[in-house]
Amino acid sequence: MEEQLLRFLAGGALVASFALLGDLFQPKSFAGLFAAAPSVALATLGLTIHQRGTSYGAIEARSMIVGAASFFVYASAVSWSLNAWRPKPRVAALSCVALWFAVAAGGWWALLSRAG
Amino acid sequence: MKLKFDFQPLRQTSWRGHLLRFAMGGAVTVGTGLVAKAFGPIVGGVFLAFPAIFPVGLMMVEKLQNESAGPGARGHRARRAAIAQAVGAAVGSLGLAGFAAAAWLGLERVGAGLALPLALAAWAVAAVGGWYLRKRAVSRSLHVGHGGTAHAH
Repeated sequence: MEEQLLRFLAGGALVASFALLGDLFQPKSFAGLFAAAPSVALATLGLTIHQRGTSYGAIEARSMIVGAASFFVYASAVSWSLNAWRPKPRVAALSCVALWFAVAAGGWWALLSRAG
Repeated sequence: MKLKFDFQPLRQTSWRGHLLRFAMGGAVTVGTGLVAKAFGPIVGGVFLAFPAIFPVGLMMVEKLQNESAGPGARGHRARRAAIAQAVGAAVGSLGLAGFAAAAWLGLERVGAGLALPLALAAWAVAAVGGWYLRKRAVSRSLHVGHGGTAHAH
């Protein structure tokens, strides 16, 4: 329980800090860089390495490359769908999360499922 | 548009928005840890790049833009801001991949104390570099599109 609380506080603080930093920049496309900041990764890797060592953290970081590629597809799809279909931004952002899961699952199956 | 540092949006954003982002970030970090515990680091690691904060950020941008726009421009202005933010996030995800690659290659070689700051630097260089390259490519294509070959800078 204590570990989960620590994760919650560390993750929350890092995510909120990066987001706050992003708010300070104009134009919006530059501020968007901070929406893809490695805030969750920093908090998770920091705590995981402390508990389980660098090898475990390195395996997580390698898998994260697949997650980042999925994020690229996800954010591109949000931008494209907003242009093409003109939904409300929240609708585009939430509905495209399914695409992140699909690409991540495909990437895991193709590249990571047989990796050691 | 030139890159600017502006404190004005901080005054417009409500404390609820910041709290929501804090809660969302905390929840996703806990969730990622639980996934890694249940399915191992290979699956857990994929979730380190889960778009946790992006949808919340987009909702806040939508709300702010709708509040500041006139009645005629409401949905349009929010959508344009959201598209810009999404394009930025797509470029930022290249930085995320740079962070992951640097952490993967560096953690066992130089240790966490050096590898994580280097990975953060890799994120910044890849994200900001990608943003500048895209900006240059867009302004070049606009220049060519307007028949500006005689105005080459």
